[in-house]
Amino acid sequence: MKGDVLVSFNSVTKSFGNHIVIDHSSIQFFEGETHVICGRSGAGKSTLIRCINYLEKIDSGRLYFRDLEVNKKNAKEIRKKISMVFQEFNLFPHLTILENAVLGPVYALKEPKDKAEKRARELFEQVGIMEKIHHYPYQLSGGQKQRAAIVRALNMNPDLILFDEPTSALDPEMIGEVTEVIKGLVKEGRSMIIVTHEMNFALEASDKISFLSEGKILLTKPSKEFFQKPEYDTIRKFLRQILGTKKEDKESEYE
Amino acid sequence: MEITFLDILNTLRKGAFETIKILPLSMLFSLIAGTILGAIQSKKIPVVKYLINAYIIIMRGIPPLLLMMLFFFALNINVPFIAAVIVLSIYHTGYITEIVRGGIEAISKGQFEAAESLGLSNFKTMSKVIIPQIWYQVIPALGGQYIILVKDTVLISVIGVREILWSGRQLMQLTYKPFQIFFLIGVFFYVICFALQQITIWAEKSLKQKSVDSGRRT
Repeated sequence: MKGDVLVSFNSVTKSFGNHIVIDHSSIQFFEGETHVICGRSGAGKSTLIRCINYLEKIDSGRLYFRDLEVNKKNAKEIRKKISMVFQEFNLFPHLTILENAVLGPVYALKEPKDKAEKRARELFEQVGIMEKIHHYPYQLSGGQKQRAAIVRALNMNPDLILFDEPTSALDPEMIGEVTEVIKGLVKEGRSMIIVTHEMNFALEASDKISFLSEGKILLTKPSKEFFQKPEYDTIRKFLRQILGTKKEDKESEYE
Repeated sequence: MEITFLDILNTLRKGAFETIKILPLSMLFSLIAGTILGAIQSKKIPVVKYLINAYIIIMRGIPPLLLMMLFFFALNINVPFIAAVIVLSIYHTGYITEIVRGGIEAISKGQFEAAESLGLSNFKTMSKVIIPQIWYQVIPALGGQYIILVKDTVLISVIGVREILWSGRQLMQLTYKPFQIFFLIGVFFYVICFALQQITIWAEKSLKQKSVDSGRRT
């Protein structure tokens, strides 16, 4: 535990029609922590983090960001403090990436434009795409788009960043450039919740890993422990499948 | 007194000027109103959505000529130029509202979510993120609607606007040269509609790349 509780799920349930996606789940996320959420496709990982900034409305239970309950009334306030990076980038195609990064601070946080632009330029420098700031998203590679999306999120100066499978839409050779940027953010001690299938990245960069299965949080452990002693068959199977294709020699550990 | 070809051209020029004065105003007002109503309609607000739907159905269900007479004679808006601009704007707003709503609904959900997750208000989400992206999608339909609007301007002569067709009819009675006069009027409308088509194609091309959703793989 690095700091205070930032996000707290108390017996939260979320369904789409008859399909229960999050099933009475309780979990806490702490300040300064990088927390990876993993699990099979359809386990409810993305829905879980989308509930935090009210992109999805929970059906029952209680969900708090700090002392603010996540609900319609508080959504705008909460979104100013939580940024999100999407799998499909979702950059605004009619704006340059600099304009993309400045839009939120200027119109949501009411910051002066030059101040927001100055900070954005520093962030673009940090992620290595300073020379592209006047380019439109269609002029960038997938990795550059995702780095631009990360800058857009960071420029809100958020207390928490949510990453929804940030490397899943990328070609394999571009995954590294995005994970390196995220590792840099880990070193800065930023609070992040990351949904990912990149388990090598999770092992190297995260403080904790939670495993979701059928809408339930099966296990939450510090990352090294998670890999050393996976307590459930379903987790062992998952790790075998994910890591097996990438690292044949790890397979034996989960037999 | 003999009416020369130059006199015909001069009279038609005055009529054409009236038509041209009405066009940009009607286009602008119907675009502004259609965009606002289309954006509101896309939010599917109870009651409001039925009111806007009713408006659209009425505009689609009655001939513009009838609307023109209704405004001019029944509502007593007896300045022909103002009545013409109001009627053409109101009538075409009904269609443009649907075009804009369709454009908004064609924008990917991810764009709305990205704007919302930045904490933008509904108004800023629409005005800064969504509406600027719809033009590529709606320009062909909007161009088509404007061409219809151009052609509808001939109807405003019934309420006394001295537009080009009205001028042509006056000339015909004096010269008995209907073919030449209506041919010239036809050329006038063809040039305007052709120019609008070219502008539409140019606008569509120039917006194409910028409108590629960043999520799609290139």
